[in-house]
Amino acid sequence: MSCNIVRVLFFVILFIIPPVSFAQGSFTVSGTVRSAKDGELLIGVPVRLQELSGKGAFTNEYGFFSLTLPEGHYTLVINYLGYEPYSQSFELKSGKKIDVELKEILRELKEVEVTAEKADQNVTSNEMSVNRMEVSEIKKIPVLFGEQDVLKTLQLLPGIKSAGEGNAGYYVRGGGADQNLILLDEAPVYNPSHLAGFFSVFNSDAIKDVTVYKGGMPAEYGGRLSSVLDVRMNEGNSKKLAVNGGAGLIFSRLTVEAPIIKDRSSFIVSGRRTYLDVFAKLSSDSTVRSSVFHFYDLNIKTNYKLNDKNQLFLSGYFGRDNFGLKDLLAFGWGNATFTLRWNHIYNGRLFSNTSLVFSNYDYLFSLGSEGNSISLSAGIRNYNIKQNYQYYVNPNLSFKFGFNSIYYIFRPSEVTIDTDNFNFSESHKRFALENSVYFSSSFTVKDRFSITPGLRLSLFNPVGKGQVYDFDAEGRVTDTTYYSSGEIITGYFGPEPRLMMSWLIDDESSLKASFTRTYQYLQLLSNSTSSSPMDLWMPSSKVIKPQSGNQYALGYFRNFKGNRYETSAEIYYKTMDNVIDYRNNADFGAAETIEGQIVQGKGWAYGLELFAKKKTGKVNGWIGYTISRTFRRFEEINGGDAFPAKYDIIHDISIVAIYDISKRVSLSSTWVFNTGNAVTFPSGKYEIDGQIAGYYTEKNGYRMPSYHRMDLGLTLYGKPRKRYESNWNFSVYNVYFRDNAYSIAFRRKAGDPEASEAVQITLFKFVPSVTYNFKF
Amino acid sequence: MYKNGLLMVLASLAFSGCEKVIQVDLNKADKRLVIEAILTDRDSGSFVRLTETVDYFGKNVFPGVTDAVVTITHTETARTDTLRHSGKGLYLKAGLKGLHGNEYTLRVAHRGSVYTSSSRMQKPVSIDSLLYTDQRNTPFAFHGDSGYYVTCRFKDDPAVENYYRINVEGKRNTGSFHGRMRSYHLLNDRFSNGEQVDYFLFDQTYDRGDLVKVELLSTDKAVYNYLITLERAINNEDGLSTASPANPETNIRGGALGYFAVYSSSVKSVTIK
Repeated sequence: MSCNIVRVLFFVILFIIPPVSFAQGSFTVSGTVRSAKDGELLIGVPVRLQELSGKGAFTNEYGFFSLTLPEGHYTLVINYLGYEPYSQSFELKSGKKIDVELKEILRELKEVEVTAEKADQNVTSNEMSVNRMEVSEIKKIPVLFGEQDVLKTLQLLPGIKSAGEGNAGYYVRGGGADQNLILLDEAPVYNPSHLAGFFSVFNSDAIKDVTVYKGGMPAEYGGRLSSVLDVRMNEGNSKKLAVNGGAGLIFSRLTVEAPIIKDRSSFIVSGRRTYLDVFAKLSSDSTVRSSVFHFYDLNIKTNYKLNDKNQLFLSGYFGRDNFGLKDLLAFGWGNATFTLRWNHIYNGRLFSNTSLVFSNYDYLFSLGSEGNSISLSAGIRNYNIKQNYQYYVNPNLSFKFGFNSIYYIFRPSEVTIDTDNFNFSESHKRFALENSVYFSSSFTVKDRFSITPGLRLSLFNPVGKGQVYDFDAEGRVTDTTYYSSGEIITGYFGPEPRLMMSWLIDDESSLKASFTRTYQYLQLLSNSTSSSPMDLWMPSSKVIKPQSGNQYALGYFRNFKGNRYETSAEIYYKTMDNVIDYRNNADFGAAETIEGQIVQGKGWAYGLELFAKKKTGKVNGWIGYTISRTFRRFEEINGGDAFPAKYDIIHDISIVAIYDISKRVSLSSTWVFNTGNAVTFPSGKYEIDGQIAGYYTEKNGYRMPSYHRMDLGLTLYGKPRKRYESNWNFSVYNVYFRDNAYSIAFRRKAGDPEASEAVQITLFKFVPSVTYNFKF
Repeated sequence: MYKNGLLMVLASLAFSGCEKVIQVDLNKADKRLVIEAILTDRDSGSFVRLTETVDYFGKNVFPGVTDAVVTITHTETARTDTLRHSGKGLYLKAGLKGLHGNEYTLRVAHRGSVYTSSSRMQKPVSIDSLLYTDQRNTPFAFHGDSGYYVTCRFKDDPAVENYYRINVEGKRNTGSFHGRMRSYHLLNDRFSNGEQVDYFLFDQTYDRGDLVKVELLSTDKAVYNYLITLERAINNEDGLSTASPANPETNIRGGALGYFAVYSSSVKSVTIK
C-alpha cells in the first residue's frame, strides 16, 4: 500500500519537475518593488524586460521579484495601475539587485491614463478564478452604514455570494460558508464577522491587499474546499509619520504609522471601535447606562529589515464583540491572531519565508455575577509553522515548495456553574495535528503555453487526550474510548494534485484551464440558518470523515483597448465528498456528542461566470453575472433524494459604477440582483399533541423572493492642502426602499389563533450614512 | 431629553427594517392522514385521534376522519381490541389500557391503506418526590417575582435505556393569574443511567399556594424521537432557528403523519408553601 503511494508520488514528481537546463553564463537580477510614498511592498506588480519582448515576472506577496537571464543589456519596465511608469536600463554581468520605488499618480492627475503595451495580469498570469483587490480600489464603493468592507466588496464579484442581507459571510461557487479559508497575514481567522455578521473583522485602513481564489488554488494553500481569501496587512509607512482616521455612524477609526528606522523598520497601529454605547452612557435609564455593547478591531504590525537578505515582520490582530447588561448577562467573542515572519533571500533566486502563526477564536456567555453565575464558552486555537520556498530558475521556470504543521486545540463547549450551593465545571477539549508538504513548478513552453502542476500532501491526526465516542446509525452513543495525551486517535491522508494551464492566444487574450483537489479537516457546526458567534468548529474524527472536493474550471480572458477593458468568462464543475449536514430536526443539546447529529453526503455544483471591468478613466467599474447551481444528496435527508443547497442561487448580477465627476467629487453606485435562497416551507399543516405543526413535503423545495438593491455613494474631497487631506463620504443603502426578505416565518395569525400567516422580515430599507475621513 | 432622542434616531437608522404579512404561493399538497394514538397503563387516557392535513393558510380546523377501522393488538395474548369512532375523529374503547412490559400493535385501515406501529409498554419509573426551591436571588430568576422552581426526583432504572416525558400542570388560585399552566419536558438517561435524577423544571416558576401536578411518563426510543423532532419542527416559528425543518420522525409505517405512544405513568402533586 505505502509502496504504491511512493511509486505514484515518484511519477507525480517526475511530471511536476520539467526538464531543466541550467544555462551557463546566466545572472540574476532581483529586488523588491515598493510604493515611493509610504514604502509599502507592492504585490503582484509586473516586472518586465523590454529586450525580451515584455517577458518578466510578477512580484510575490512580499514584493519580491527575481529574473535570471543571460549576460547582456536590459531595460526593466514597470507599468502598474495607479503608479507612474518606471523603467531602468542596466548591464547584467553579475548578480544584481534593483529595488524599485514606484511613484503614485496623484488623484488630480488621474485623467492621464497609463497605457501599457502588454496585456495585464488577468490575461498573462498563469492563474485563473482569482480576484485581487487593492484596498484603495474599494474605498469608493458604497456599503451598509458607510463602512468599507473587503468581504462585502468581494460579494460583488461573480461566483461569490452573500450569506444574507448586509452579511459579511459568503459562499463561493456553491460551497458552504465554512469552506472558505480566510487568512490574515497567514493566520486563519475563524469567525470573520462582528455583530450578526453585518461587519467583517477586517478594518480596511489596516489592509493592503486582498486576494481571493475561487478555484485553481496554488499548492501552497490547503485546508478548505471552496476558496482561499488571503488578506495582507499594511507594513507601516517607512518614509514618514502618517496618521489617518475617520468617523462614521458605527465606527471611529484611527491609524498611526511611522518609520522606526527610516527605510529599515516601521510600524502601523490601526484601530477602530463602535461607539453607540458612548451615547448610551448619556441615557437617563440606568439599565441602558450600565449596558455594554461595543466591538473593536486592533491591527498592529512592525517590520525590521536586518539587511538586504533578511527581513522580519511581526503582526497581530485582536478584535472582540462585547455585549452585556449590568451584572445580569455578558456575551463576548472575538479573534486573536499573531504572525512572526522571516523573509530570507538566499542568492537572488531562492526566496524563503518562514512563519510562526498563532490564532484563536472563542466566545463566552455568562449569566449572573462572580460567585453566582453560569457560563458557557467554546473556542478553537492553533499553533502553526509554515515554510515556503520560491525558486526562480529563469523567467520561464520557477518552483515553489514548503511545508506546514498545525496543532489545533478545539474547545467545543465548557460549562461552568458557580453558585453558593452548587459548583460544576465541564469541558471537552479535542486536539489535532495537520501536517502538509507541497511542491509546484511553473514553466512556460514556447512563450505562449504555461503550465503549473503542483501536489500537496496533507495528513490529519486527531490526537488525545480525551474521550472518543462511537455512534450508531441514529446518532446514539454506543461506545466510549479514552485516549491519553498525544496518542493518535485516527489519521487521514489527502493527496491534493493541482494543475493550472494557460495558453496565450495573442497579446490580449488567453485560454486557461485548471484542476484543483482539496481536503478539509475542520467543519463549522451551526444550529441556525444564519451565522452566529456560537457556531462551533469541530475537527474530522473517527466519526466525521474529512471533506474532499474536485474542481474543474475553464476560462477565456480578453482585454481590450490597451487593458482599459478586462473581460473574462469562466465555467466550473465541482464535486464534493463527505460534505456535512444535520439530521432532520437535529439535536444540538450536548456538544460532546454533537457528531452524532451530523450526516455526510455528496455535493456538486456548476456554473458560468461572466465579468467585464473598466479599470481606468472618469467612469470605471464592473459588471458581473453568474448562472450556477449547487446540489446535495444525503441518504438520511429528504428520503435520499438530491436537493438544492440553501445557497443555490441561480442568477446573480452585480454592477459597480464609479464616476469621478471632478477632482473633488466622486459618485458611485452598485446594483445587485439574485435569485432567492432555496428554503423549506410547509405545504400544509396539522394538529398533533395539542399543537399545530407544519407539513413539509420536500427539502429546499421553495424559493425566497428575488433579492435586488441599489446603493449610492458620494465622496467630496476637501481642498487639497499641503499636509492634510480629508473627505466626506455620504452613502445610501437600498436607495429604492426594496422590501427584501431576510426571513419568512410561518406562524399562527396574530390576533386570530384559528388562522395562519406568513410573515416576512426585512432588515434594511433606505439606510443613509455619513463618514468623515482624514489623513496627514 | 434630546439625548434619548438621538439614541432613538441611531437605533431607528440601524434597524430601519420591518415585518409584514406576505402572500406565499404554497404548493397544494395531497391530504395526509394524521394519527395521534396514545395507550397508557391507567384506566382512562387511551385514545386514537385521526385527522387530516389542511392547506397551510386555511383555518386551524382539522376535520376528523370518521370512516377508519382502528384496532390495537396485544402481542403476548394476540387479543385485538377495536376502537369505535365517537365523533370528530376520536376513537375510543372503554377500559382499554396496557400492561407493563407488553407489546402493542396499532393498526389503522383507511380508504384502502393500512398504517401500523408497534411499541412496548415500559416498566414505570416512580417519582420519589417533588422538591421546590426559592431561586429568586440566583441567575435562574428569569420569571419576575414568582421565584419557586420545582424539581422532579426519581431513580433511573439501570437495566434499560429510559426515555421520559414529564407533563407538568400548575394550578394557581392566588395573585393576578388564575388558571392552569401546562408544559412538558423530554429527557433520556444517556448520561444518567441508573442514577438518582433531580430534574429541574426550568420553564415555569410558581408562587406560594400554587398546586403543581407532575406526571412522569416512561416510553420507548421511537416515541421519544418523535416528540423531540416534533418539538423542533414546531419551535421554528421565526423561520430561522432550525437549520433543517422537516416532518418529525414518525414510528408509524404506511405513510401517515403522527405517532403511536405507549406510556406507563407515575403522578405526584405538591403545593408550594
